Amino acid sequence: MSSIDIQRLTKVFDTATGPLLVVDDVSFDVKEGEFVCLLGPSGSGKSVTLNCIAGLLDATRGEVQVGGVAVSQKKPHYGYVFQQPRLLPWRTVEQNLRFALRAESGRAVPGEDERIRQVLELVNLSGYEDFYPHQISGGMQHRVGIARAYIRNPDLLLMDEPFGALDELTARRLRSELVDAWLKERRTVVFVTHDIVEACYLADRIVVYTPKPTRIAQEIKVDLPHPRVYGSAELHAVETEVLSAFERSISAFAEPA
Amino acid sequence: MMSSSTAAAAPTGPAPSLQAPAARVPTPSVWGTRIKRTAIGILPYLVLVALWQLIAATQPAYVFPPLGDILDTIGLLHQDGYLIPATLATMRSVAIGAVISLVFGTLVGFALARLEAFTSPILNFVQTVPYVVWALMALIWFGLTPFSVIFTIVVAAFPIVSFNVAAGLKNVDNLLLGMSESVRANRTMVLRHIVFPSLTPYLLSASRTMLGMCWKISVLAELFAGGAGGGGVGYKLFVGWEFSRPTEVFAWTLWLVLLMMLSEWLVIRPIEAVITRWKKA
Repeated sequence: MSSIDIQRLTKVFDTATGPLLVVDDVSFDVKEGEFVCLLGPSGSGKSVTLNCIAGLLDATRGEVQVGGVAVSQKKPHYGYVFQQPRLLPWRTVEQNLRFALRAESGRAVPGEDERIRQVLELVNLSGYEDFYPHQISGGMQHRVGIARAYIRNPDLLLMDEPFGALDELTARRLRSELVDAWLKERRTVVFVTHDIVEACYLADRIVVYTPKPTRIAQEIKVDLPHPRVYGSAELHAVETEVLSAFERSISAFAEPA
Repeated sequence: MMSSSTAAAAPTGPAPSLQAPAARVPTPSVWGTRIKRTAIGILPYLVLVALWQLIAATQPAYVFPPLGDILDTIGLLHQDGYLIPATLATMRSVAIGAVISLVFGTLVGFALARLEAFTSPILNFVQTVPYVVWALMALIWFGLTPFSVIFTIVVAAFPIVSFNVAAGLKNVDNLLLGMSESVRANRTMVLRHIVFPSLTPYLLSASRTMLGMCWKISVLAELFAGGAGGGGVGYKLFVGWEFSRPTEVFAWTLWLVLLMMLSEWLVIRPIEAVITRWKKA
């Protein structure tokens, strides 16, 4: 069980110049097996929300529940995909995945080799087991990062702009592979991005954030079948809707100032 | 590509087969750079030897013996059965001292990174006391024993490791630590797969300096400890001095320099090659 329920989440950071309100009274939920994109401008508190879901940050006020259990009581079982692949440069692809498997117990896990084979197949990297990260391309390194998030078999995948640093063509290929993997091994996904096209291509639902202090500008359901086609009329319609929600939130934010 | 391979093969004369030149073209340049690199590597030693011989030619042999005399003396010392036992005694002290310095220095390095305010002053104190004083203190505390020699070596060498380890710990990649948190890595796994691999370049460069220090301090300590300190190179060097045999002093010194260089080539380089082999993969 890994539905997410976020109730009135507020996060304040104490900085040298006084308290900084980053997330202001945000509530939304994610159903089990749903792919939700958090979309917002840079510095709008998307990653902070993600880290509150992961239990890496404590909520100042409000509560995050995963599978009906408060994150503050029990950290959820999740896989995390970062913007940089964050692979151990001195370990091969296989050893990197093995590290993730053994990290918690420090001991070999039953069915290890089989699991490594499976996730590498899932991200189309079979045959690259013995390569070091510096021997494969940036796109492939990202695939290893995604495989690593899958390998511990979490119900929940948290992704923090995983394709943000890639060129558009590589990003497109990885997005379609991500959707394939997700359709094959369905997980609850929370995907942070500032890219409208990316969000519309991937998500079942898009939660649009306002600039800081973050509130929810709008939630938009994307009811299109996969695989979606970039530049298609249906996708374009969703993009327009998201963009207008985006613009409204920015102007609404700008006016009172 | 075709034109370049035919052009390179042309001077070899007879019409070459089609496959042969492509494989042969890069070889001369590889050898060229290798020869050039070797030449550059040897050059400083040639200059040193030339300078030495030049000065030796203008000075009496008891002040500045020529290299030939020094090498002869090394041979004589070997014939008389002094060279190998003294070398083994010093090597033993250096090896034990280096291993202790590496392990203890690493532990203190962790303490230095974790509790800098506490560890740093102590380490500075240890470093500020002159090595000669440590050598004399060791004799007072532990007597004329091989252990005094090892103690002096360790006291002089371990802070080098500690400072390097502490610097390395500050540079462990935070992104990797964040990743390890996301897979809930336990402390042992983080140490083994992230922290220690991050430390290896620091440990390697520390070991280099530290091993050199061990050799130098071993001579100092043996000189004070006398024959009871194991009769190492330092003691023999002192004997040569006492009996006014300058060529012997030079011979032991040159021998020591050779041992130092050998330890770099036979110990540090192979370890480095094994530890950094992933980079060349």
